[in-house]
Amino acid sequence: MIDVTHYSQTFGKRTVLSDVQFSIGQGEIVGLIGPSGSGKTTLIKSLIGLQQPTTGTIMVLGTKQPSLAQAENIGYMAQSDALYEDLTARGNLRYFGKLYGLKKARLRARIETVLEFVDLKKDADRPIHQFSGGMKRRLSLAIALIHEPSLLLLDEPTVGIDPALKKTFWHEFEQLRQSGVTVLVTTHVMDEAERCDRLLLIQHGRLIEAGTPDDLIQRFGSIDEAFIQKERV
Amino acid sequence: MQILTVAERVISQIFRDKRTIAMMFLAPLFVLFLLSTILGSSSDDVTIGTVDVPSAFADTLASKTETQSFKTEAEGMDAINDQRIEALITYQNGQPEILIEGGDVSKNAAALQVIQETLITIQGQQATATNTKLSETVKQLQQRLTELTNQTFDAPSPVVPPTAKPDIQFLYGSPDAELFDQIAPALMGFFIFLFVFIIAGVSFLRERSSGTLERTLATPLKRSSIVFGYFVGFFLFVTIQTILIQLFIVNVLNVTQEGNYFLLLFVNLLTASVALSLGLLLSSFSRTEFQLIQFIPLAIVPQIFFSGLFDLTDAPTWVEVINRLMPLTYAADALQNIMIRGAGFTDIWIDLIVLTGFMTLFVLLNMRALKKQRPV
Repeated sequence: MIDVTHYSQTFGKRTVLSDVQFSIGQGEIVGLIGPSGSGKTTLIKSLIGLQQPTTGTIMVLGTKQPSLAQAENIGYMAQSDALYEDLTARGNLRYFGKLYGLKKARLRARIETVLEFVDLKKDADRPIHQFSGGMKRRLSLAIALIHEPSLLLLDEPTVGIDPALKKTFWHEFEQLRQSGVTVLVTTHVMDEAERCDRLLLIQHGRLIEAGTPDDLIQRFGSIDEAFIQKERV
Repeated sequence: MQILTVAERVISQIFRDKRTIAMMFLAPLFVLFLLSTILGSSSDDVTIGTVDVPSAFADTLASKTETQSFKTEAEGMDAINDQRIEALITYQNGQPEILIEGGDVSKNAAALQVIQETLITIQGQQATATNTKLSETVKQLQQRLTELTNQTFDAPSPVVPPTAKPDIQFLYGSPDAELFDQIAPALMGFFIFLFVFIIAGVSFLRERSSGTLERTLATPLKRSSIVFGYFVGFFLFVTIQTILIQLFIVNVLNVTQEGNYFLLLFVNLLTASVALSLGLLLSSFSRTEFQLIQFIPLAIVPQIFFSGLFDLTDAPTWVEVINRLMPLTYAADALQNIMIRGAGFTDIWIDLIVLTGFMTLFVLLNMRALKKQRPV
């Protein structure tokens, strides 16, 4: 699904990521962990094609990024809720659904499906500015799923939501994985990292460790410990 | 198709924001109404004081404006110091001496004009009187000559030049056109430009800062579709706004409108398009709404100076250069020619081409700026 080789990203003189290499296969839930500001969002943006890699290549679903063609197959949930506050939940879903090229009947059906999936059916016709933080996160996830993407890129999907909703989210990710969707999720919360199939650890602009949560626990005692020890490097 | 999706979203967003709609539709009307009332309430009536002037002069002056006669020059000076009169006329050795108050430019001009008109009338009367005397003298001389020589002497009687008033006609407009008639077309262009600039700029900036622009760019949408989607979406509102302003200016404020209504609408829509593309472009260079608003004194307000409100014939070259760089210069020129001079498409096509050029330039720059957000 994803193949990244010798990828570096610099903004002006500041190097954010250097010589990153990894690959992700179909149906995996991969956690991208690392402290704030380590470059997780930068990596996600390059995977979607929102920026040109400074060096190296990024292949997503067999296409070199950035490209416009693969956007149809990628579901993206940004770190901040990028929602139109004046519109209703349904209005937001309709807009993004249309941009992904969904036609009338399918669009209508998909809107109902994802609203059901994130449990927002009864609030679907309220404007977003009346929504709570958790409701906005759920709607953002619904938008990421509207076009049935085969790859989901989720940038800190559970920041600022309560533990119950977090649990629901992860339950949903696992459901999606079972239907063959690949999920790349960034986090800096350790209990989430434990639920991933595989972990990528980013620190100081380098992708340091790739392995299962168990691998990391065996090597460092706990994932928290892995985090802290690498911090000292 | 994608353009229409963006347009539809922009439209439904604005429809849900009642205050923005009110500002777009009613604010320009209110401001224009206010200005029309203010400009219409200025008065050119002047009071002129006189001290010991010949009665012929005093009578003629009184027939033209309000006068006030003073016994001594000191009394007159008091009056002019208190601004009760705009000018004071005294006669020294049979010659009029005029003192103008000088604080109010338009009243000074009016006072001077009245005094000059009076002097011309008086001179005319004196000339006629001299002429009459002259012809009488000639007649008497002829009679005397006939008595002395017994010959009739046929001298041509002196021709009195006619002192009839010149026939003044207006090629465009009418004698009672007011200042507001002259500046209304330019102001209409300015307000359409200002309001579209603010609303479009802020809407696009909000997309940028809320992350919805980036989120939209993460879909298969083309960059150009966003820009043109905004164009189509805003066109609906701009058309309504423009028609409202046009109807209001012509029918309620009674501004002269000689030209074709649809050509006027077309020029206004083109002006709005330039404002829209400039608003979208400048929002790329602002991080916050506050920063966008800071562009207004720099990029928008100077345009009003160049929109035909002031005569720039004697302006220095650098002002002329700035003038040529301002989109509103061309919009105002076209609007004034249509409304006052009834100009047709063939008279203003150069303005239209320049405006289209500005719009194209801003759109292209805007797409370049969006490239930073997504390279493909």
